[in-house]
Order: sequence, then structure tokens, then C-alpha cells
Amino acid sequence: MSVGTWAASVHRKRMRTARVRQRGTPFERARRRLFLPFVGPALILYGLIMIAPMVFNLWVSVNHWAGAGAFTFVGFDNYAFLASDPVFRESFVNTILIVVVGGVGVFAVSFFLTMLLRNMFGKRYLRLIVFFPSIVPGVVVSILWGFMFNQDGLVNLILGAIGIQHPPLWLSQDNMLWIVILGLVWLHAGVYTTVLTAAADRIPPELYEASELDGASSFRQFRSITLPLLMDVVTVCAILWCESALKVFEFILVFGGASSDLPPTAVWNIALYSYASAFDPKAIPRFGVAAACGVVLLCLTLVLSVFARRITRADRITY
Amino acid sequence: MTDNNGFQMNRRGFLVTLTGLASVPILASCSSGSPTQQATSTAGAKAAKQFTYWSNWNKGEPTQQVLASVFSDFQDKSGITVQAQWKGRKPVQKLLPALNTGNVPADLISDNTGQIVNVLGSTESARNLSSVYGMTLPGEKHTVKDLIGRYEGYAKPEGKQTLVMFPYVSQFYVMWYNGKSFPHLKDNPPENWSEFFKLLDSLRAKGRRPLALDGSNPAYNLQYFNNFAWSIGSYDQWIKAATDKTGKTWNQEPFQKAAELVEKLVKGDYFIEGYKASKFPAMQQKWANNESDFIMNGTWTPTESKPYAAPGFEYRSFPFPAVKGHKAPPIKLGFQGMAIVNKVPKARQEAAAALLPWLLTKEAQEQFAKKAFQMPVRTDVKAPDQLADALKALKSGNITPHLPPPSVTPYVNKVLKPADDDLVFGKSTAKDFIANLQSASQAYWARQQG
Repeated sequence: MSVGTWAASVHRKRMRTARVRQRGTPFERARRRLFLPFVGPALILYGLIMIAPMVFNLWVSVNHWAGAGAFTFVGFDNYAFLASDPVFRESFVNTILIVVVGGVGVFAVSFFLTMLLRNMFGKRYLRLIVFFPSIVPGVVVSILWGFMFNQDGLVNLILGAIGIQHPPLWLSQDNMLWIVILGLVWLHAGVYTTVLTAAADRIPPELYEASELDGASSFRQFRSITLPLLMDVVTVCAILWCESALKVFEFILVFGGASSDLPPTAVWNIALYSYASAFDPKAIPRFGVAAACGVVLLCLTLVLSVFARRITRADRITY
Repeated sequence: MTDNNGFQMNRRGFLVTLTGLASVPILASCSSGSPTQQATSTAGAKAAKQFTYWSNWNKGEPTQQVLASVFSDFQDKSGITVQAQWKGRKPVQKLLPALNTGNVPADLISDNTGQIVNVLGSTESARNLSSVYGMTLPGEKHTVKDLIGRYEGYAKPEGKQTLVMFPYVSQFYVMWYNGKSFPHLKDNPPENWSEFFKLLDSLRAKGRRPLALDGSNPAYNLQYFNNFAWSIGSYDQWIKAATDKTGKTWNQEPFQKAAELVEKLVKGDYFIEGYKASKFPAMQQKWANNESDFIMNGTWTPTESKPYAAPGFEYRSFPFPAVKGHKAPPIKLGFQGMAIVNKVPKARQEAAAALLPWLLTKEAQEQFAKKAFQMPVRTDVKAPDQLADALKALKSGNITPHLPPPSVTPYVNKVLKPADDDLVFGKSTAKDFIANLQSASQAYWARQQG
């Protein structure tokens, strides 16, 4: 075999190998053929249930629409209107306050309870008690919460009993949002405490035993062992909190509203603003503006989720 | 798109699939442009023997029971079956998506004035009821127009002459009190605020805070400013101010005086203690337990507060008094009404139309008052004691002639109510209130134009 023939043969062989690699083994080819038949239905469902409504919402947000009848294309007018409306700006700020201040509150309480419950006697039953507020419907909690903070409600009775005769006006419009946030913390802290304590249970006890021998306090154990080893779960919890806090709706509607009227604008968040735009019982519905609110919420969810991931980012620790 | 096994999906194909999926609802909404054609083509004589009604009442509610009894009479006499679906509150919102398709599930629907006139009427989804207004009531000589013709202004969407709502009960605000505590007011209610202030001052002298108010509801707070303004000025002047793009109309004397009167009520501590920081219905409960004396609230108050009212509480009311030297403010009405959906077959529309006069018969109207404690729209029926005074007020005929334009509602929510809350909570003076209102109105309308 001449050198030229040998070289040509090697080249052919390489080309054939490359083609086989490209096409894959028969098993891989069969898998590829079955990809669409298997994934297709799920893709169609996902498209119909998730993507299509989102695209439809996007379309509505660039139109004037009363919920029935003709669409009038208005470009970005609805977004410009939102940007210029002080009530929307206030609603936006309130939304961020709920996410951030509420988030700090929820996780502070959850971490504290996680730390407290780790070694406590009867911790299983205590967890149930902590989890209890989360199974009560938000609307019920909202109503009870309102009555607790009324001028002659339970909170002021307790404060009066310990000598505080002039408590703050909890439910005045200036303070109402803070009371809403407090209510949300109370409502949600149990869920996150349950998730975090469940994750903390998986941390090997010898780590705590070793740290105890080294003289670490409970707080030091939490800071140096529990928290770093829970970071993955904390990240997921932070994203879940952002997503749920952005959509808080019925709690505010019931807490601030009366019968069929809307609550004062001082406590509106974006979800409530969107509702007021589409479903004000006495006005022509503005679904375009409501849909634009939906797009703003979607963007906020994405931004806050990325932000939550970044601030809770840590090296993965295997144990 | 590549998966872990080296599978390469055609990117263009994927995008085309995705776009196709996403366009389904858009195309669906666009392709539903001729529902009337589809609907009318299915019209048949048999269909007219029945029609579907979507109600804003839940099964078991007193008003639902009265409606069911009226339907039963109607079915017996006319042979037309009413397929009633008791949907509960806001059925118009539930119907909206279906109005974009060729398959509308309700022929007749009931809701409040705003939902019917502003939502169904403005989107041209409700049939013109002019012919129904001309119908004669079963067993009576009256036509529908004889009885509710004066409410026509409420039944027309802004800028249109079509009557889209058929009102059957009304709602409005009056000043409620316990008849046992003030027996002399039954026959001599205060005619003006000068007289009323004397009464309030005598109560203040006894250490009472006589006016109950749930400040957490901006709509309740606004009653005082509005009624003062409607008394000193007029309802139309108020609408002019609420739609004035410059906001300058608020500077006029009636509004300044109205704001000063509200300021007087705030500074004189006439409002119940805790009204600035309470959750509805805490203050209403206190009033019903005689901890305060008067409450400016709707005709629904007896039904709403009865479960927690003091034993023997006797509901009495009088209209918001006039400001001395001025006329009494008109009563601003709200209604529970019916509408016929115009995208359903004509035969079904006619069947639904035949039912409507039955809701106005003397018997039906008395049932609404007696069994459901609703304010009848007819003034020649006997109302129960709780509503007798309010009915007297309605009989006086001093009512606002029409709805405010729909554009006023978002304005009131975003501009007037927040400014009024500041005034009612003592955060701003009457002077500040007018100035704030003017600048906020100007900015609000500039945004609407932009």
C-alpha cells in the first residue's frame, strides 16, 4: 500500500468515524427520534398554559381594552401612564417594602425559631404550632389582625395593662402598611421555619458536638454551621418569598377595604393597583393598564429572584 | 437548542411552534368578532321558551329567595322557564371573557349600576331596554316607565341614549340613628345643619362623640364633603369640578365652605373616638351598641348591623340635612339592576325581556322590602319600619338625576378620596385641602391626556 493510498484510507476512516459520531449510536438516534413525540405534548401544554397567557397579557398591555369589545392599539401608553401615576409609584414602593421589610422580618423570625427549635424538648409539637398560622386562610387572618389592632383591640388592651396608655394609632393610614407587613410576617414565618428546620435536621450532629466541645454558643453554632449548610435551602426560600410577596393581594384587600369598596390608596401594592384598574366596581375596566401591571410584576419577579440568588450565593457544601 | 445527549432541535422550528402556541388566544379573541351573527343564526322558537339568568345573589340570601319566587310566578303564568344560576357577587366580571366569544352563557344578568352601565353598557354588550320600559306591568295599569322612568339617567352609559339597566331595588346613604334614643326626631328630623349642630353640641356637652365613622373606608369619609357641597352648590357643579382638567372649579365657594364644615366636624371632635385608626366595621358596631349616636351610611345598614346591634335597637333615619340657607343635598342613588345580553339569540332576549316587568309589581317590590330589607324602586309600596324613613326620603324626589361619568370614578379613587381622607383625619386644613385638590387634579388630568 502506497503512502498516498494509506493516507486516503485513514482519511476515509476518520470521516466515517466523524459521521458516526455526528449521527450517534443507534440507541442515541432512536432517542432523538422519540424526543419530540415524548416532549411535544408537554411542550404544547406548557405553551398553552404558561407561554400563551403571558404573550396574550403582553398584547393586552399595549392596548386599551374594557374586557369585551374592540382592542385599541396604544403602544407603550399604558406603561407611560403607570410611570407618571403617583398612585402607581406609591403602589410600587409599597410592593418593594413588603418584599424587603417583610422578607427581613420573615427570615429573621424563621432563623430565630430554627435556632431555638433545634434542641428544644418537644420540638415536633412546637413546629406544628409554629406552622399553624400558615394553614389559616389569609383572608381570615387579615380580618382577625384588623380587630386585634383596633383602638380597643387586644394589642392595645395588653399595652394598657402594662401601663402604655397612649399606644400608636396602629390602623391609621400612615401605619396601616406596616401592620399589613407584620401580618404577612406572622402568616408566612411558620412555613419558612418548617422548611429551614427540616433542612437543619439533616446537618450531621457531630458538627454541633465538636463545636460544643470548642465552646461555641448557640448563636455561633447557627452562624458557623447551620446557616452556611442551609444556604441552598435559604436561596430557594428567598425566591419563593419574593414571588409570593409580590403577589400579596387578598390580605390587603380585606385588611384595608370595606364591603365592595377599595382600600385607601396608601396601602395599595401593584397587585391591588392592577385589580383596581380592571375590576373597580364603578368604573370602566382598564385591562390594558392592569396587564401592564402584570408585566411590571413579571419583570420584578425576575429581577428580585436573580437578586435573591446573588445575595444568598455561597459555595456548595457537601455533607 | 441542545440537550445533554447532543440532540439538536431546529431553533427556527422551536420558535415557530412557540409563536404558534402563543398566538392561539390572540387569534381566538380576534376571530370572535361576529358573535352576534353566530348567535342569531341559532335562534329558534323553542329556545324562547327558556332563558338563562346569571345572578349576583347567592342561593339562600333573602333577595335570592324573593327573586326565585318572582321567577316561579312568571314561569307559571308565561310558560317561559328561567334557568337561574346563582353565581354570587360580580357576575358581570365572570361573563366578560365569554362576551369575546360566540358562545355567551347568560341571556339575562343582574349586578350593580356600575357593572351594568359602565362595563356592559360601555362595551355595547347590553341590549337597549327602551321597549321594555314601555311594557305594562302584569295585573296593573302602570307601564315600567311610569314607575322607574325617573331613573333613566342612571340606566344610560355616558354619551349614549340606550337604556341598558333595569333597576329593581335601590341603595343610598342616609343618617341613621336609634329611634329609642331620639324619639323626638321621628317626626321632627333636623332640617338643616344649624339645627343638627345644636343637637350634636348637646351630645358633645355630655361627653359623647356623636358621629360614628369607619375612617378605614374612604367612601364613607367622603359622604360629608360631598353632601355639604351638593347642598351649598349642586350635584352638577360637583361633577364639573371632578372633571375640570385645571382643578380650578374646586376653588369655588361651595367647595370651600363644604371643606370648612368638614374641618369643623373634625376639630370639634364630633367624630367617634378611634375613627382615624379602625377597621371596618368597628365603628359601625360601636354605633349599633349606642356608643355613638348617628352614622351616615347606606340603606343596607339595618341588615348589616342587626346581628350585633344593642337589644331593642330601633333603626330610624333622615336624609343628610341641608346647610342652613341652602337646599337639601340630593340623594345619590345606586341600584341593583338587570341587563339583557345583546349577543344572545333574539328569541331568548325577548323571553328575558318578558320577565323584567314582573320585578316591579307591587307584590314583588313589597317582598324585596319586607323579606330582603332592600329599598324598593317603587315609592308606592309599604316598606318595613327600618326602611320607612329612607323610603320617605326617596319619595321626596330630591335625587341626583344621573350617574357621574365613568371617568369620575378613578379620579375620585386616586385624587378626591386621598385628599378628603387627609381632611377628615385632620392632617390638612380646609384651605390645604382645596389647594391640594386643585394641584392633584391638574396633574391627574394631565396624565390622562398624555
